[in-house]
Amino acid sequence: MAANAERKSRVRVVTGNATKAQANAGKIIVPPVQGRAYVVMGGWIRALGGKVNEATSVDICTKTTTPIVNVAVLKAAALENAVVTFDAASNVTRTTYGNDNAAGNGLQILTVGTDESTCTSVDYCVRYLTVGS
Amino acid sequence: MANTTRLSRERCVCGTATTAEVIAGKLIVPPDSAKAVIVTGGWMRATGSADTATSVDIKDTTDTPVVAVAIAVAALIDGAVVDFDAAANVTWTTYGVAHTKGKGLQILQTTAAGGLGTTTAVDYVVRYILV
Repeated sequence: MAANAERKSRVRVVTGNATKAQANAGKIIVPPVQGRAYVVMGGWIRALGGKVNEATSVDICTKTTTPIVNVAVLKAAALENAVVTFDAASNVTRTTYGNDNAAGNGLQILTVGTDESTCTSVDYCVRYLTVGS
Repeated sequence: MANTTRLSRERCVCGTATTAEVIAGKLIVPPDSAKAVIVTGGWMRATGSADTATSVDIKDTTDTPVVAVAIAVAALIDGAVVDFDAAANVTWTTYGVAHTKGKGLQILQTTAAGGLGTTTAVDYVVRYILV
């Protein structure tokens, strides 16, 4: 976001669950809309059926050829049934967080590194704003 | 629930419940026969440290209330905001998951020993969606 920029908007939220197969492949959680940019500004994830073990992290990122990471929760924090807030002091990497993604890009939940095989699925709750028409 | 996605506008209820209300249960989101509630976030803050009770919970309004999120009294120290996403002293039961359709939400203690002691009130902010 440019210096001295400000966004006032209604907070939207997407909640759900992605199986490990979906997270490994990338599951769209907010579909792309032409001309509309998304700003991720909060949320959490929770691993179910086991901890995140093989993947390096579980990311909320853009659904693009080269995904832009908004927030990455490292496997060290993604223990079974533990809610990990995106605002946690450790084991969370916030890259494009609170900043505009490119217009027209959707959001996905995606594992990074080796495909995850230990946890069975991941619950997610992502708060975001929309910018543009 | 596996492979779900719910896009929604997030709602918020905030307020204060007296100790008596927390002991008896205070309705904070009224039931809607056509909607299910999903708690997505929030926090609590006790006025006067909580003791005696086991936890202060956000529960649904079924006859045997289902816990959405429970804050152990160990964390409810006078004036301290305890986030529902905190790493300790929080139990997420039906959190981020739909409660039974037609049930509201209440703030209600869980206790094995009679109720909150020195606390006079609990502030709450609960974020939720309706589906």
